Amino acid sequence: MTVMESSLSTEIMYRKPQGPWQLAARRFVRHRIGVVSSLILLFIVGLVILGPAWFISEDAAFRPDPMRINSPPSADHWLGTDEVGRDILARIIYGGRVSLLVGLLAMLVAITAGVLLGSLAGYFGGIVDSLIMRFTDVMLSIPGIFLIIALSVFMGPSMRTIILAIGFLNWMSVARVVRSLFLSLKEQDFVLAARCLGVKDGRIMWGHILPNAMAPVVVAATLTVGSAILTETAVSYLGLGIQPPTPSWGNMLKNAQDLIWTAPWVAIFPGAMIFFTTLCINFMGDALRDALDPRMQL
Amino acid sequence: MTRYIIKRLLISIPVLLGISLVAFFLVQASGDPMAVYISNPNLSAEDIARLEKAYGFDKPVYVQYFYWLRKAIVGDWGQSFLTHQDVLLMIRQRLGNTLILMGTSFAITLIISLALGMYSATHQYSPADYLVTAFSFFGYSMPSFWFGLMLIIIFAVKFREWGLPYLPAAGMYPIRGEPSFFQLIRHLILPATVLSLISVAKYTRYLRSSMLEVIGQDYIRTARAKGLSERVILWRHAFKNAVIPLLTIIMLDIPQLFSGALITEQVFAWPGMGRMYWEHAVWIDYPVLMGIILLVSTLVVLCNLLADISYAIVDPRIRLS
Amino acid sequence: MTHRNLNILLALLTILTLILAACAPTAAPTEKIVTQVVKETVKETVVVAGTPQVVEKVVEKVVTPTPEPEKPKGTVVVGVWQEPKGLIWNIFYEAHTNDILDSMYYAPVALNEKDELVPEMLQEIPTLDNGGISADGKTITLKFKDGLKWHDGQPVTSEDFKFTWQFVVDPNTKSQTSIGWDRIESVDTPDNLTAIVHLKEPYVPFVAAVLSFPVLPKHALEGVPDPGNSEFARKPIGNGSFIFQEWVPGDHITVVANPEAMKQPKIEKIIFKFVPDMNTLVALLRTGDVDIAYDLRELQIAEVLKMKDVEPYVVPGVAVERYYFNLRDPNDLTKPHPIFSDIRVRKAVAMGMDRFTAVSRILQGYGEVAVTELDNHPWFNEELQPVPYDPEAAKALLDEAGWKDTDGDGIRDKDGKKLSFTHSTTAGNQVRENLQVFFQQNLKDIGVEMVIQNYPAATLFGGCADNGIFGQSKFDMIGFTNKPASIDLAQEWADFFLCDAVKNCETNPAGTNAWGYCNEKTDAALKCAIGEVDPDKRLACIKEAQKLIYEDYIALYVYDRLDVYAANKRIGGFNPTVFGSWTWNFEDWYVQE
Repeated sequence: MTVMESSLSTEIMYRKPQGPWQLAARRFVRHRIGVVSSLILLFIVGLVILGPAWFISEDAAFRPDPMRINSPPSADHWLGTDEVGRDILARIIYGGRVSLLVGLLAMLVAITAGVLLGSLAGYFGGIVDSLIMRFTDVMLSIPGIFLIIALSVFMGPSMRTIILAIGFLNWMSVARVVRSLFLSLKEQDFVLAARCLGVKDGRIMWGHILPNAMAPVVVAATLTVGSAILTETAVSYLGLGIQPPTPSWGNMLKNAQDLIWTAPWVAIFPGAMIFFTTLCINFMGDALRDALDPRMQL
Repeated sequence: MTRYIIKRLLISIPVLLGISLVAFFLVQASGDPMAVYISNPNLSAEDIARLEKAYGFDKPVYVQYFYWLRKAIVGDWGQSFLTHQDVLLMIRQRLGNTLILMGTSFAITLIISLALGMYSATHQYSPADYLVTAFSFFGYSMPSFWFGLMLIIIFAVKFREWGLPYLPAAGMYPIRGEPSFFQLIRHLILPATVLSLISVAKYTRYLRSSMLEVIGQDYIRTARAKGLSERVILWRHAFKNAVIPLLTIIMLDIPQLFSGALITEQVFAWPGMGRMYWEHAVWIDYPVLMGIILLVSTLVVLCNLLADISYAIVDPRIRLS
Repeated sequence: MTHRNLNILLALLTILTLILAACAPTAAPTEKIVTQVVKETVKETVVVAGTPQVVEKVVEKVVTPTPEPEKPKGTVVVGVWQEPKGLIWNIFYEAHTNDILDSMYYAPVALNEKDELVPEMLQEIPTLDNGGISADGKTITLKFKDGLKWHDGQPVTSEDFKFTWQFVVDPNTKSQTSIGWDRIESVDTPDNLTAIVHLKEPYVPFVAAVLSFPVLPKHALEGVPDPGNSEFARKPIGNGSFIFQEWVPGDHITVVANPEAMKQPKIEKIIFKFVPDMNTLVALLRTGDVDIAYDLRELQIAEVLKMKDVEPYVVPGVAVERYYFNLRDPNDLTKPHPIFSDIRVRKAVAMGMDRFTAVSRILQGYGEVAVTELDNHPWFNEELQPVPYDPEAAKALLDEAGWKDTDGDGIRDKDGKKLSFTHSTTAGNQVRENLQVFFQQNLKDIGVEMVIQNYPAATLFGGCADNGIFGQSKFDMIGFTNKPASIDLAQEWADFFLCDAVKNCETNPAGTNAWGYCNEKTDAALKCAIGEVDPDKRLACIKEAQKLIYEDYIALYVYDRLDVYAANKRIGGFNPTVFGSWTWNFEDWYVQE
């Protein structure tokens, strides 16, 4: 860790030596909004996972009730009903499952690709590095939404498409960071030692170097989840999002637009969920960055 | 130095080729550009076969790519299948409008994030720091089309109904009036706000942390020890060094700004290039899509090149590595 | 930066915003009606004490000079969500483009407020009775009005009509449509005002369909290479009530009143403003920036009703939302469809969808349950009733067809195959999605699984190359709307069902019968609908064809879409009709202050 310059370091010098993760945890806790955000996020995730088992029926979220379309919030439907009479609270909970899942899986795709390409480039250098980095440059130069539109039109709009498209467009910054860390770490003594002992490349890369490069990856992963949720919303606005009848916060918000004047609650709640969730994720990511690697460029 | 610039220029060529290759196959694989004709029940079989041949869709994709590339290099970017116009002309008509919107939001972003970032860095962990962070993340976490619609409802519709000074909802100039610079500025406010808030958070946070880092450096301590005023230290020494790396980040963000512009232009009926991309993407009008992607990417590559070169001038260590 | 600096900066920003915002657009100078107070002497007969006497009296009189004809005044802004790709009707053939072109062009024939065919450029409508159409239906004589002029001052002649035909069928034009025009064998022009059209075979829709499109100027377009990319395509020379003024790409098209027009417009200017987002358009309607909007979505009507300055117009539409059953196996088009080739299943699915509740509740009554493609057309076969919603009958039919739920998963099956099909339409269309979701539930209740699989328009309507869903018939059920281009829609309608229009990527890639329907009786009736010269016999054929298609359950006509328009109350004369749409009477629009 190279974070010793900040003001905290003086404080720590007089204490018992601590591992980098403990240090990070202490820093994280100092970021109060980050902590609060994480708790809210935990609540949202819990609600979304447990909600259906606990108090929301699948019928409420999926079964259209033509006799009760666009009804305002009431005792029966806390957040009202939508344009085909489904309960908005139930749909927000089911939609949250989808939106968060899209965010998480897209993040996994992006991180996997980024770490893989970044570590290969950084570790092997030379022609491998040049090829991978030029490809990274190419992908960085094309506006993401342009490619997402093309991909969605190509593969047909579906959850799989969205996850792959978002993942496919977010790995570049991770790859760059991982590459630069690998470049510096691979010259360090413990790597040289491992190499002398005849440890295989793959094991050195992912067994020895990668754990030391995890901090920025964790931060990037967090922030990617947030941006993936927003991207899903933007893609929904263009009509290429998650397809019916599956709810997602993005397609709920898109569908609510026409009703913004006559039934604003249909728009307000999914919009608020997207906003607060992304906000909390970003705060959490910010706190993580402060804690793990304040100089990170994400 | 010249060697460095030449080296960087040479690297850009494969990148540009790569961009065109990725874009072409993606766009080309997306579907049938003839769909616009086939969905039209008034076209006969002969009509369609004739059109298909006229556009060269009967050849394999890679042949079409080289065909396209050969012409693109000499400046013939082809004709739109939808409008039959030259792609370059179409882009020229819209590029300026998009750059106006992007330039303005870029300026707004920069002013706000510099102000907030500096403030945040000098007041680390104060309540105001949290407030700044909260504010900067506000725009970043908001779905932009929704934010845009909200702004239209509040500032263009409600304010007008309440008799308050209001802003126009759509377009670049008043629909009925004469275009003027002043009107342009009024029309810019809402879309530029939406577009700029996307990046404020990122730059604010970045500037904050790089300022914090710079402040901790030895030469700042030395400056402090020399008894220089805090203002001079911050602005003359720390700020300068903190802002330079920010420029690299900003250059990398240009594509994202275009992405944002696509949605913003759509919501605010801004006659720009992003909206044109979307309108032609629906029908896979690939000469236009390719043209736009290529132009934007070239701009990005050029900007990065400029950033790198100016960076190298400032910091000679880079040239050597 | 200190607190103070930040505050000042924020204050400055706020002030700047306010200053800019305060500069609201200055009200357009209202045209003053010149009124004068004139003193004049009038002779008046008064009865004084029982005897009438003529006295002279000075009275003050307010005189408002009303020059005849009145000078056009006022500007109307029409919000359009799709920008034309170009302004030559046959090359950029789209409904919304034709709407705008209608302001600049007259056509040989047009529709009046009752949707009756009336001559516009012609002196009279050619019929069998007046000899305009020959007894064999193959020769049609057109007599143009004298004195019609192009906007550049050149006279409109029968040569222009002949040129239009040549232009439309010329492959180098890259025309998007040649429907009807390709039936012309030759055109004679004995004089400047007469054109004699010789058809290859009798083609009855000719007068109402082909002649309702604009005639193009020969002197401006003849010999122009690649006309779609010509100056004319961006700056057309018309002959109609309004003259093209400017087109700012991505922003608007402006047309101005033609002082020499055959039908004098009452307004000075129309601005077609392009606003791609419908909700932004509604906001502009509300603020009064846009006067007229069309193509509004059903869900937006409620909002328009709340605007005090705006009047909604809801007109029965000719666009019918329909779902087609694929009769061929999408994986192997030589085989019949595993589910839908059985008419009992098609009938059960049709009867299992509650279109009545869908229209009354999901669409909130803005629409009507459809019967056939010709519901709001004078040709409608009144015998036919909408397919009823009858889940019990549907279940019985499915049982009878051998589809039973043997494994207890709630979905019927037969020979190990589940009764499950995909339903595809354009992705992102909210009204369609809402209906899909509702019907999906209806069908689930009778043990049928409908899987929603939507595609973007380019993929859905894509052709044979590159996996088009429509092009390769790769759907079980496909939903879309077709809005006929003219009141005589026989050809377009027939093309969905004729045997020789059956789509096949090897032999007939341009066919529009992608569901593979072929029934000899229907075929004969449809061919008669296109070629029978005798109006009574033709009508009988059309009604017969409607009945046959209905009884074969090839297409489920879901609902007749309403055309929803909204116009600011200051606009008068806006009077949309079923077939004439909102564009048949631009000249009648006026602005009242």
